[in-house]
Amino acid sequence: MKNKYYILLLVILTISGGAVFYSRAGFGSLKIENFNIVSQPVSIDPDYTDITIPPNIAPLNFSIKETGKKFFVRIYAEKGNEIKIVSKKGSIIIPLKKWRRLLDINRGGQLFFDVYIKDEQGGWNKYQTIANQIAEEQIDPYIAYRLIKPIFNCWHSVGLYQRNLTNYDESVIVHGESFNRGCVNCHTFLNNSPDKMLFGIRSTKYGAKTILKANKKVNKIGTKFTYSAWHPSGRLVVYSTNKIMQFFHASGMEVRDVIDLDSALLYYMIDDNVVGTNHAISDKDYLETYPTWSPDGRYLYFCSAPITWTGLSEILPEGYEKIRYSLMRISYDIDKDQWGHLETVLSADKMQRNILLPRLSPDGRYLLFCMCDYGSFPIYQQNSDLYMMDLQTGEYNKPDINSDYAESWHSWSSNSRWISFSSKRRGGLFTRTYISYVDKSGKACKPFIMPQKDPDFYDSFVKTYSVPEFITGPIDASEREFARAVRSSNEIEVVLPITGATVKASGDTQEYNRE
Amino acid sequence: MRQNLQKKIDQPKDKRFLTPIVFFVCVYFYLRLVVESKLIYHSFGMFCKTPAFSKGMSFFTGFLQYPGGIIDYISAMLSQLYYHSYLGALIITLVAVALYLCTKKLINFAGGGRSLNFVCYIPVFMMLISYNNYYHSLTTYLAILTALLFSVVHVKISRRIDSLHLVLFVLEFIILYYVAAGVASLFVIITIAYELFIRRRLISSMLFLVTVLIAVWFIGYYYFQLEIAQSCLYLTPFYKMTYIPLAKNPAKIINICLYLFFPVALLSVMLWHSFFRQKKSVPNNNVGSYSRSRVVVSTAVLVITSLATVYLSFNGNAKASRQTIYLAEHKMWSELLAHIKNLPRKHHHLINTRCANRALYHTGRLAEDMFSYPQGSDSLFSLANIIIGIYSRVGSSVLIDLGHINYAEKRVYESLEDMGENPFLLQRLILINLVKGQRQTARVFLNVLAKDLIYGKRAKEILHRLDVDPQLIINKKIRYLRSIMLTEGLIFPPQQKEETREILLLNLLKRNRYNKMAFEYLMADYLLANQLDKFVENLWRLDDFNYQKIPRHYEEAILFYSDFTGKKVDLHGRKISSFSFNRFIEFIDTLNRFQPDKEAAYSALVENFGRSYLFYNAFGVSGVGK
Repeated sequence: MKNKYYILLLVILTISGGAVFYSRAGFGSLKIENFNIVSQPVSIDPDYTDITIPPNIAPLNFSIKETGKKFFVRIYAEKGNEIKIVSKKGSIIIPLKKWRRLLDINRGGQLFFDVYIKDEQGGWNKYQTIANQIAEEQIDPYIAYRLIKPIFNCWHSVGLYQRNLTNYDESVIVHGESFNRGCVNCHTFLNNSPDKMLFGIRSTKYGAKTILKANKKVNKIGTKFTYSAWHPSGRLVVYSTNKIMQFFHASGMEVRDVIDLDSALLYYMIDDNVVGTNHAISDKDYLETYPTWSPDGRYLYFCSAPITWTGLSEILPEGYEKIRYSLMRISYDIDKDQWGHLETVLSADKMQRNILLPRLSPDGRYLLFCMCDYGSFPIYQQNSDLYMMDLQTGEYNKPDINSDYAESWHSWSSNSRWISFSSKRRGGLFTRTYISYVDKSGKACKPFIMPQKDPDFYDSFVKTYSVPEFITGPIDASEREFARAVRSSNEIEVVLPITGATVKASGDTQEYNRE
Repeated sequence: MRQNLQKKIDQPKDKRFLTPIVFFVCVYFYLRLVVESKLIYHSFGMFCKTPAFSKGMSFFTGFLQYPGGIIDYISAMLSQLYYHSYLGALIITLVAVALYLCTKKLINFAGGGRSLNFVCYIPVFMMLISYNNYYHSLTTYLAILTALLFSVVHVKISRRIDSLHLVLFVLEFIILYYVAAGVASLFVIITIAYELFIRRRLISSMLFLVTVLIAVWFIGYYYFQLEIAQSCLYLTPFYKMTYIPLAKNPAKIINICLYLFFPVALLSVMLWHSFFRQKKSVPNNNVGSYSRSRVVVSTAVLVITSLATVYLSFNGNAKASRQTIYLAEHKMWSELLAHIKNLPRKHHHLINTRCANRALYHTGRLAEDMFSYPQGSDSLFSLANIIIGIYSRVGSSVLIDLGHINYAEKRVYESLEDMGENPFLLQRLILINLVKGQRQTARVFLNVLAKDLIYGKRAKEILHRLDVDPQLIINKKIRYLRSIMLTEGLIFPPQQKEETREILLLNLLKRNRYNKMAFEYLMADYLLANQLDKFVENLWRLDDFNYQKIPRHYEEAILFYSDFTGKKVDLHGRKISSFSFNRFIEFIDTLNRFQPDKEAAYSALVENFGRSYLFYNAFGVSGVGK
């Protein structure tokens, strides 16, 4: 009887040992010596071919979109151990530790993927090797974004999330469910740091407010900042206040559209708790929006368009499709709280296009912006593309990162070498986050979609990624702290120099909401 | 001799099960044949949020992230089976049986005798009331049932391992709290009451309470970072009570009653037992005294109560609207028209009328019979900016049929956001995106639908078809919708006006003059608004369609217009039928005869003309009379 147990134990140990050995060795024992060479690139999804990748990015798992009985992928570089993966269905899941090691010791080098597919007859076919470049420079390890359904009017499930780009961890920063199905929007960070941040909330119960996280405290400000930009010193925030109108197209791919009936820029001094503005950035005859600071804090860049209608109407104003914003800048001395003269950086009239969402690289060299036909919301414009301006020369170009669909909501990494942006290129409806390497000469490389653990993740994910912003680490405030601040009756009260957006007078009866 | 005596005692005991068995068989057949769970399934996402369910681990793991997730998951999965009425009825009946048995057991533990058997049926009656009104509260029932099961197990086991009863309680509570969230409170109330009144252990019950408070704080608030309210109340009927006023939420009232029933009933029994136990020191051995008359009386009471509950609580209106939705969803037009025609007038509302009009169009009878149904100015479809819930799904179908694909898309997304992912909405989104040529987006929705228990197979078939024919050129419907969908820039501002409907329909006809539905809806819109000048202006369009004769309601409108304005209407060689002409003469004569007494005219005309445009024009009412 006792012997029986010994035999059983031996069998279990042998099987376990064999399994461990097999799994450790992977397909190491498999030597594909006889194979046909297929002189064409293999079809994989997501498209992780000919790209430049950060040395600290999570494994780029993918699916092989070719037919075959078995799939074998060899990932290797000049140095380090190769990674071998075998799959029956073509789903390539790369082990995290081995991937990290391989990327880390091959910074600046190339990373190769050999893909073998076993056909119906049992023969192996080797496709063209995929060669990707590993950049020297790391990417900021976190990215913050909103996850929302394709929203038209109501919001019931809106959350602000942070994702660790070095693995696949995603966590909630704050979710609308924590405050009566509210909306979370317009998150902004100071110099890519998770320590100082702002975001807006809208809720039927708690109103439209701004949540400020600074000095390890989370507070609610009693007014809503729409698009905001931190001064690099962290002492003030410029924000826009917008009267937005949404409307719908009865034809075409994009149903939704948005214009600003009115908008203006204001600035909030964090320490003094004072809101101010200046005629140059809140002109009643102009729509001012999308502020952003130069990294030295001396210039405020923003977009401005003349208002061609009078008053705020519930009816879509005529000529809305001709509204085009120019790119402007204005100097500012934060110590004296003094604004300089307004300059036109890029004129919409000259370009005959609409310029929106300027964002400067943290090294101050490049400016990335959107150009589309009209309006104030580029992600709803199918023809919205990203453009790069060299601020040293003033020249700009359309980098090869655009698609036939809308590109928008871009951000720079703290080292100015990586950009993230939203693109609707996977079908036209869902925005996905793309990452691209920008070299020192300002050339943006072929972008790749933010990797997911499940290679088929994007094929059945019905939410959109909105406003991806790089951050240098995780946000150290919990979801509960943010939710508590939203729900709290305490808020920082601010006195506004104007109430809401500026209103252009319609005749003599219209009063200006300004002091 | 001894064996015979034993038989005599056992026989009634066996018979005791007969009544509940018969009762629950009746419940099953009632649910299957009268309530029909498929009607509940088809109205998911309209009257209640969709209990979305998807095959696969990633979907399941999402439910493990919070207390109560497991019950949510099981409920969502079982809700899919409502698609088949026989399975839905079975699930509901099994839950009802389990509730009955747990109640019986707990009452027994509390010291209640067989005289309280009737009380055990009360939760079942509450469930029946709820299902008679087509409320979907399976999650609540499952959570309550789990709590009751844990309570039964606790009482049973704690008797045997008395020394470890606190450890046992803590373990059970933690598991139950994770599975059923706030409903674990029911378990706490029952076990503490049992400790206090039956076992008379005050300290032990206080320890239970303290442990629970700490556990909820730690697991719910600290570990899962839930709000206090969510930590304590999730899955209980008290959760989120503030959002909808209780008075407007009868489903919640029933659930609250059900939830409260158990502590109230058990505490009453325990208290009674506790105070009067001394007096009744001799246990009542009911087995021997089980009398035939008592069985008859209790069965009669049960039957009468059941019938009264079923009869009084049945909501015919709720069933009617859900039947309409079911028949419309399956495009069973003739059955839909017959169903709506047979509805009592009090059950007619907008959803029925809009579905009836759609069915009338698809059966080629809109211009002939639309005034046989109650109509109003908003009976066709609405373009209001925000419509959620029931109208959104019905509205999107009409808009798709018309070719207004973009606005249908807007409606469906709003519904998706408001009511959750649901196979019917996903199917619409797949169609919309395929029509618009957005195959990749359509594939995303197809992949989601492929994980659906009911429609997964169909989604996989379409995915396969897409591989073969990416443009789906062979699909007639898609080809047709592409030929009628709007392609020119028309803008819909946030504030829609009545005339927007007319603009839309005219634009659809501009896009494709052979869009028959747009034409018939345009003419119907004019008739409903009594805009006969515009109606007459568009009569030339009859040439674009193969009408054998001028439709009845058009003839009535033409006659009315000619008579009222004295103008001749160009009928492009067509003739008004003598039948319509004679009826018109009769109508006008009768109307004139009773002038100015409109009420008398109404009474005189309603019988023969209550289903004509003539009557609608004169009195603003339709679908009355013969």
